[in-house]
Amino acid sequence: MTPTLWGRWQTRLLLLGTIGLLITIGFGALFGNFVTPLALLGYVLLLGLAWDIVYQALQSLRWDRDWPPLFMVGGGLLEALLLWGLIKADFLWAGLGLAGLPGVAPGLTLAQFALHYGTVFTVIFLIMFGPMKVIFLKWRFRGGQFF
Amino acid sequence: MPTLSEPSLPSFFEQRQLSIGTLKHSSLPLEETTYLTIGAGVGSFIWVDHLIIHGVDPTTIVALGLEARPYARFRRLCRNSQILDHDRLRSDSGGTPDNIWAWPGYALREMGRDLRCGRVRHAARLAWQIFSEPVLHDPFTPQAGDVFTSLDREARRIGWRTIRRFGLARAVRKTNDGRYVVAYSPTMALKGGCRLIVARYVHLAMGYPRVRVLPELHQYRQQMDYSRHFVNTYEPHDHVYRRLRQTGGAILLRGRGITSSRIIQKLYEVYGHNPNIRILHLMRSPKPNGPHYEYARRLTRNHFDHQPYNFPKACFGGDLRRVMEQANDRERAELISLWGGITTAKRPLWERIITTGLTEGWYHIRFGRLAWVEPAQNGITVAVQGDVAWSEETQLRVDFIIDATGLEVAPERSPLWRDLLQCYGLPKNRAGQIKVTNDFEIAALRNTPGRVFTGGIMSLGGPFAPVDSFTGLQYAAQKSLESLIAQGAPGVRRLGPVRSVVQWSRWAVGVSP
Ligand SMILES: Cc1cc2nc3c(=O)[nH]c(=O)nc-3n(C[C@H](O)[C@H](O)[C@H](O)COP(=O)(O)OP(=O)(O)OC[C@H]3O[C@@H](n4cnc5c(N)ncnc54)[C@H](O)[C@@H]3O)c2cc1C
Repeated sequence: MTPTLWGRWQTRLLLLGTIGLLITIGFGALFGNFVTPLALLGYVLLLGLAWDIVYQALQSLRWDRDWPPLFMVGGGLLEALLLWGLIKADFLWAGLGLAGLPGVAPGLTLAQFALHYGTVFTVIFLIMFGPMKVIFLKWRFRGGQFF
Repeated sequence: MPTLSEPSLPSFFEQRQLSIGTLKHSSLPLEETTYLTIGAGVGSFIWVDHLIIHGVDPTTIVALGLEARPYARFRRLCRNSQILDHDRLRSDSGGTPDNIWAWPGYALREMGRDLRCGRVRHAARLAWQIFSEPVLHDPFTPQAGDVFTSLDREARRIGWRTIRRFGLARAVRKTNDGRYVVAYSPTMALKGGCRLIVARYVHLAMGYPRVRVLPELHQYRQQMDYSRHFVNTYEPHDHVYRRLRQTGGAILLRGRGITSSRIIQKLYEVYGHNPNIRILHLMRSPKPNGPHYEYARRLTRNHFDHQPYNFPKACFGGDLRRVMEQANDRERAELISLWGGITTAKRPLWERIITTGLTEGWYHIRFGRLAWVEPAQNGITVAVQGDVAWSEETQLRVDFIIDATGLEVAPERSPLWRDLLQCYGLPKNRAGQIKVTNDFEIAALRNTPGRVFTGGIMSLGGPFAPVDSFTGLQYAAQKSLESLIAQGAPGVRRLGPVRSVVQWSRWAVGVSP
């Protein structure tokens, strides 16, 4: 599937809001804290909407205007890095008079973050390469859009 | 391709609209169906597959064509142009004419087969290829044989044998009850007389009208035993390689699309057996730079335009698909020549062959056009007229001319399309092909409730750029299905998520839809 901007947004919203949410609830149960994983999911979604604009701009520099799997993974890593950077940017939050990134427990470890983020990303990545096309017949032609 | 020696059609076919009463009272055998596709090639197969998976009763569908297997003509054209069953095609893994969902793609299937046969390394290599394409690796393309085998399997699953029937369609007319009648010959010889079949929905998928015969070739063929020295890549021409292998020789090659790349590869294989081979690649003009669209430019090397598929990937489903759909007729024609045109894929082997050939001197590129061709002792004398900079005429003696400039696309070259153009004055688009709506309907043929759809090369310049590809044929089929659903055509049901998954599961286990 070669995404359009609307397609990126709609697919992100749908997949994070369903599969992503389920996995996140699972991690909430595992870590004994639902707020942090849910807040992280919310940040991935919100920041992602902005990232998607950047991806789409980069995509239009390519002759084929495609978005190869390698770029998807690269994008996923960048998004994770930025989010982890935000979690750890204490000076920033202090400046804003906050204890940290709102909703995220200060004790969140990198391993917990990586496990949660990595699982959500991998499952969604795999679903986009197959099952999505089966469930939504027109999805691939519409650049990931449902509407 | 058969050419019609045009034995007379029933006289009532001169009218634009025929009365059902007249048809019933004529002495010609007449039958009725709901859905009829003409061609029975890959495009017809994909349309029928969509209909059946969307719930249509197979007994209400007829596919009229000349060959039993849907890929028969495609395979013949591939073989002639030196793509054998183990060679790789040009589409991506998800170009799956046997599977309307495009998943699993051919890469995954090939990996599965590798793993079952214990070829773990090859499977891993494929996994890496589809993951890293086209950035670190050239894109995966399926083996032609795998596509054919998968089509055979799907044909069995949907009962293609009972849907397909032999018939050379000769004319299509509207009837006065909102349907269409097709006159066809039940035998190739046209001696079997004429039969009629009436249908409410007709799909025209006759593919390319024929092999392109350039004027020089045509002239030469009228003078000489043509098949020997001046060949078109889409016609059988294996004798050329056999002769070259034995005695070597000089070849003049025309065309710089993917077919010519494949021919150069074949000649290189022959060169391995007989180094006494020289290739002169005649190109119209130099191509130092590829075209650009907005901020991007197409890659060009050694005067070959490179892109993985016949159109940029986003034309198959990304933002360029939308641009095309929303463009007007003139813009569409411009975009087609900008994004499409004559291109080849960037494959390491092909690049290596060209570079080696240029360095070692057995492969030359020359710009100009073929001015004239004359038979010579055991070969041909050709005159090459230089391009603007060097407009001198050079005479050369070559053993063979291989013409890889393609297939004929003009609708007038097909007797059936020509008849339709004449009878109904079908409008053409700016690209010179048949004008279709965004649903691939030929609006000028509407006979409410009846509809005529098309797809493939005839709809080039319409709402979708890569119409002549497996994915393009699927897109056209899907759009026509949407239109049929909207009008409540018999048996067609929307394929929502649940039904889609159920149907896919049936495909996966191989039971009929
Ligand atoms: C060499 C080559 C390689 C290609 N490689 C790829 C690729 O790698 N990937 C990809 O996606 N696409 C590829 N394509 C493009 C495309 O997928 C094929 O051209 C495909 O076969 C098109 O299907 P079609 O139904 O339009 O035509 P066809 O498959 O050619 O079917 C048309 C059928 O109509 C029949 N017919 C014609 N006139 C009549 C009549 N009057 N009555 C009854 N029957 C008639 C013909 O005999 C033929 O069997 C390739 C094309 C060629 C030529």
